[in-house]
Amino acid sequence: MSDTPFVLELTYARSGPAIYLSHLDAIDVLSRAIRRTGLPYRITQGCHPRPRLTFGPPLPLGHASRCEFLRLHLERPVDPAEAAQALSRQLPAGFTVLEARPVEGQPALTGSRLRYRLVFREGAEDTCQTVARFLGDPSQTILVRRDGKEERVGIGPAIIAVAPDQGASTPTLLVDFEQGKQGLPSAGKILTAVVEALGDRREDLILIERIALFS
Amino acid sequence: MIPGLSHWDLLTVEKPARYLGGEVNQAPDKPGAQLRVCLGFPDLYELGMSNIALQILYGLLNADPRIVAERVFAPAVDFEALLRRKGVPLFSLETKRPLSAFDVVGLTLPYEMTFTNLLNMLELGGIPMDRRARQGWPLVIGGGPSGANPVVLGDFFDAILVGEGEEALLELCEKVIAGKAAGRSRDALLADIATIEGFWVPAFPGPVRRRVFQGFAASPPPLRPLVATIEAVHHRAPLEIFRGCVQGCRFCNAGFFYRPKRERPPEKLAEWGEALLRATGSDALGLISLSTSDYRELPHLLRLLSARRAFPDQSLAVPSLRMSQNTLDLLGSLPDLRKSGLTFAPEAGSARLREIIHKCITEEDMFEVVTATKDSAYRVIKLYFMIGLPFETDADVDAIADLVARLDQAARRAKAHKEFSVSLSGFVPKPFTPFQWAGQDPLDVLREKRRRVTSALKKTRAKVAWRDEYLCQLETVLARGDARVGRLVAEARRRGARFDGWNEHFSREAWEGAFAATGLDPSEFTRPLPLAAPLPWDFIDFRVPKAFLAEEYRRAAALAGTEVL
Repeated sequence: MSDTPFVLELTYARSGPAIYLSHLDAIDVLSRAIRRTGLPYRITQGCHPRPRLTFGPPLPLGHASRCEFLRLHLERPVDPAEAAQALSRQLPAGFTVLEARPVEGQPALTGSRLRYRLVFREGAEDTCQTVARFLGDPSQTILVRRDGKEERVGIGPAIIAVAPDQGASTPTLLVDFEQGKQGLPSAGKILTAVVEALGDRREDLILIERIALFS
Repeated sequence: MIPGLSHWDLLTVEKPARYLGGEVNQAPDKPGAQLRVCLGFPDLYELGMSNIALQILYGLLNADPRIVAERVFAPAVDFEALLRRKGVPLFSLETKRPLSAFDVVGLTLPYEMTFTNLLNMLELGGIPMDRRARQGWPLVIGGGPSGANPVVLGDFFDAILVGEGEEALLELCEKVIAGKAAGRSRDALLADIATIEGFWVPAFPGPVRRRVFQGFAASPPPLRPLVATIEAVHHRAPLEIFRGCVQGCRFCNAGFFYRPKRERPPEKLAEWGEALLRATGSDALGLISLSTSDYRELPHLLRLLSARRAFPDQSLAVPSLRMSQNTLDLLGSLPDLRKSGLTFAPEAGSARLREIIHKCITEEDMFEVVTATKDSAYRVIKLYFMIGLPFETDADVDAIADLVARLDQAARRAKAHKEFSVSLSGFVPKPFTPFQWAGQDPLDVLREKRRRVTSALKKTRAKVAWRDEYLCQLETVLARGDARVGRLVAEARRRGARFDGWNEHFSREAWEGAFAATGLDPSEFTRPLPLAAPLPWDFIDFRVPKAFLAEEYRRAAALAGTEVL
């Protein structure tokens, strides 16, 4: 066993059936796929050893993504492009590996800022504007459960930017969130509140997709 | 993704991935296929994906270039409500076709408490529940251990297979492919299916012989099984090491249904085990059989399996072991064993009653294991008992708590930190077992006996769980019933009975209403039957002569110092 592990960071997308998996189920799916690739992965210590993986922030059930990432610890260097292809072949429907690159040292994980794309169906400009107003209103609050208690929390500090995507073919919003700081509601909770507020008009919102993570 | 259901609809139900398919090793569609089969399991995805029969048949059918096999599971209560609200028929996971659009719908019959789910799946899939009301496609066929007595389900299935499906289902497919090409009528086709060994076709009743897959030992298990995308009940790669059981427990349905014992060779199993791990990416290989300890070369097999390395983090799960000092020594020598806990199924508390039911487990084994594992990671010891077994006396009932108390004391004396977990269930007489004639205690008697046991167990540290006696009684009615019980099942389903094996879903009200509406009395099916009485399943040649079963019953009675009627 080499003392200097080789760490590969893989970016992958989740769409179609893969958006209906919980974070834990997705970890299991990815772990199995990694075993099937035959890559020389390192394992964790303890009674239940597993492939040594580090994941980005959990993707809420129902959200698509094209910026998920995981770090895979390997025994020896491998060709990143070949590893990406090998993993892609082993993943079930809805998972696509987009990129693989080696990482040096232990760089901090990204994910305290997230960019989302909210896609509405054609002709749903009104609903798109309703959502833009909801997210853009600094006084807007949502109901959050914490420690068994419900409380209203302002979303203002968690929203960095809300803007229409002018280049999109149907009404689309780009929203930047901040999360992970004390008292900030997560992007997942805010978007759930948006959908609840829409009621039956939620059918106008056809895709919630995480498109970028920043630190 | 599913016609008629939106993204937001899917997010209103628990675990939507249950209904979406797309798993690793899913068979690709064959648009020009000559035969489209939907294989169904009448319980949740997590259970169905752990069912080895479904994986075997799915693999076999899809290996034929003319056949496409897809899957369907029982929709959970929330998803059923969504389907009904949106008017969407129950569909297959692979191509999202409604069940009514298939040529053959093949439903497994794993346990009696899924009977209402079977009928519900047919209705949700747009297929008339009454077989006589069906015209054209699909044919609805069933098979599995709870179809050993198929008569109960005769109104709802076009054909039921008694026995193993590996060859019989392919033979049925051959006949349907030929029949479709020749434009044969449904009835002509069914008459033809009735000639396949093992199939009972209610419209063309004739003698039926239980089907045995003679080629089992030489055949590989499914080497590319489907891998569940959400955690299944058994989330490991399944390797069936042998089929059948030689223990001869007189109450056990599976022990007789899967006769004779057929072992796969250890070298081939080691090869297949590694292939299974590589094809599934599972971290654990799970050995499957009714009684792992009865594999003739178990130490050799386990060493071979451990020596094969597919992954650095692989492990081996060896359930269904009869624990003893030898077994512990063997397990202790394996590097990657996944400890699944210590489980004993003495079934009866006294040695006398264990001999009567032919359960070969001794107190010595249990005491030895409890003390031998005092310093090991085996903390919890599970014990399974049945209450109301034939020829049981009050002393036998009291012996259950007595045995647990003595094991508990032995553990304390040895300074072994053990937790005992005791499961109690009422005895259910099953067709084609020596106890098929035995009576089941009335509800109040079963309940009183169980209370005596649980009350006595309060003096121990054991955790106790028991199965509701009403469910045990219902299982007897469903197992030993006739066509009238089929109508009872239909009525209970109509009144809302679903997932009857699940405490949180079981509706006693629906079943009591169904008994009242059909005028059936459970005691008709639970009382002792005379050996000379005709049984609804007598027309089946089970390859275990009725005279042998009767002799076994008499032997049990003789051990109890009594005689049977």
